[in-house]
Amino acid sequence: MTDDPVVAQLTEGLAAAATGLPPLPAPLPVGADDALRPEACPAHGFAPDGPFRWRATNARRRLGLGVLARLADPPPRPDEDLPDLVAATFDVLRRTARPEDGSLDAWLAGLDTVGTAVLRRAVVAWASGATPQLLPLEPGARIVLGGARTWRPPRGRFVLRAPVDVDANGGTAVVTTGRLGSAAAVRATAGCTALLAHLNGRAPVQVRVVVPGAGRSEVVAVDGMLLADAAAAYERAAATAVAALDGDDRLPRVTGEHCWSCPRRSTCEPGAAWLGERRRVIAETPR
Amino acid sequence: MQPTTGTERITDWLRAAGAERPAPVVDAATLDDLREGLDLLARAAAARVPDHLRPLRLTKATIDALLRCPRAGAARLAAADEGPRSGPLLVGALFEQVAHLIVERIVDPEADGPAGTFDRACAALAVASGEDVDHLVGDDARDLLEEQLFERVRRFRSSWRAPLHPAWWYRSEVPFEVAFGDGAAGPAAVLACRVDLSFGPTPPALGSGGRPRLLLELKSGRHDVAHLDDLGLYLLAAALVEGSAPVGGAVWWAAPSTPAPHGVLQTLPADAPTLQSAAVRVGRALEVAADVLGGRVATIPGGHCRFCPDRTVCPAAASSDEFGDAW
Repeated sequence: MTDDPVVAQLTEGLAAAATGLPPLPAPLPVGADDALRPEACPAHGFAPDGPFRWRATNARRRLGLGVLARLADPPPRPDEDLPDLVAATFDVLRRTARPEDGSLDAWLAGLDTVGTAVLRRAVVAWASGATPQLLPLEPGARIVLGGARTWRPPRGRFVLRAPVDVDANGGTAVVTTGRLGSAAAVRATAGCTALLAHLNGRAPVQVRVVVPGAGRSEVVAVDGMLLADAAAAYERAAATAVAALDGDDRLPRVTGEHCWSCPRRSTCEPGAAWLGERRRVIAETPR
Repeated sequence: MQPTTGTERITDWLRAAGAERPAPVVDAATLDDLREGLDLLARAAAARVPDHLRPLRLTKATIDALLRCPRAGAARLAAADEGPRSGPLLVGALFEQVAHLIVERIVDPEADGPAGTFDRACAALAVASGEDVDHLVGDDARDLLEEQLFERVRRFRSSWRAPLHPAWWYRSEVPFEVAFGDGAAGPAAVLACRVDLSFGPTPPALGSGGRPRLLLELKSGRHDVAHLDDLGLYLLAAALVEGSAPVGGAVWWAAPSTPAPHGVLQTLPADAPTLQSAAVRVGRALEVAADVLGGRVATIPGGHCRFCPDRTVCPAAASSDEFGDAW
């Protein structure tokens, strides 16, 4: 039993969510994307994962962090050409990839000249945008290879996951994201990153959420409320993941204004009907 | 940089612009004024939509749709999955992959021929986005796509004659995200752009510098001056993110139905009128977006219907055939 109220709440919540969970070969993954769904509709944005396939868009950040980890120690000289550095480091990563290291390395090793050029371009673009935002590192901080941290409670049935680019060792954790969002979305993202650090031993003092394409970042202070809110979000996401095991069509659909921004709004029948009716009314309303 | 239209090659444009070492012509005060005006409009628009729809996220496609037809804008704002790419969009996606590989001197279309070029484009698209085009198209469609792709690639190869100057760096698919109307709840609106190609001095590893100076947008279809409006948005976004305007940009069209052997290149300076015009479009789109999401939409049919996510259900789209083949 833990004295930490956040861990105690989360462990209890996850145990409740696991009630009725059938035996599975591995713990059920619950990611930050799941935890960041709005509360209004459990099925919001939910879609079963298709067969996973590596591509430049889902590999560039992970490989880019590998590049940054090599660039961070020793840090580059200010006058060195960034693209050359990044490209050369990527080439080293690719050459040293061994198929037995895992699916990403196996994919890397199997790429031909064209595929390598496409991936190289994507990694160089990502890392070149992220480098000025992430380097140089704070004392004691390190780039997180893989770009995520996980946590599984003792004898737990779930494994929680959240993105993190720089581990702060108690200082400022950094997480990159592709798009600017509301203050609430930034806080929720920071909460997931902070919670996973907390569960792994030490929460950062603050989380910096970086949007390289915007050239700016937001700093979110970490406190008990942030961690508790993130824990509650993971508990809800775990319950949804369990409910979706027999097919996500069993998830309750609650229509409303959130349907406008739902990624599955064109395939969700109630959502599509709600939007269709809303559009009909809109189209018949004179401007 | 003076605006030009016509048969200039991309290579010549880059060489001339690079040799001039031009400075941005828009000062910081002008950029501040533009941002201030858009901040006000963004706050006003966001105040008219539900909280959870903020920030209003505008892309070039959303802005274009909102300004052409509010219903198309509504559909674009609500479009999750537009289904498989249509023929023109598929050729465009394949073309873009080959164009990057030509710039990087990875492929030589003349040596590969139509079939080899198509194979390499499919392989590149599969790595870039996971799309398995090669296995999706039948033999008849493949022949047509090969032919259409190769015609466009040949024109691009003719326009891109020489390697990039070694002192310049090119970046592809560069994202720019600009926040407007920042407040306690975050931005009221976001302008999100992704530029096909940007060119500039090689950036240093740490510190400032290396800002994009020239932006290039590639179009595999016909010449359409509306694409210059998109370029204006990119120039505005780059200026506001970097705090310093690029020098200018260009749109290159393959223009396959014209006799132009190396396509059509039209340049645009990043001067105050260009950025102001782009800012006006963003402001108008913000107002229409607030109308749409606040419940007021009208329908205006046109050639844009063929690309509208609502094209199969909107009565107005049925009458859009009279606008002809826009591709």
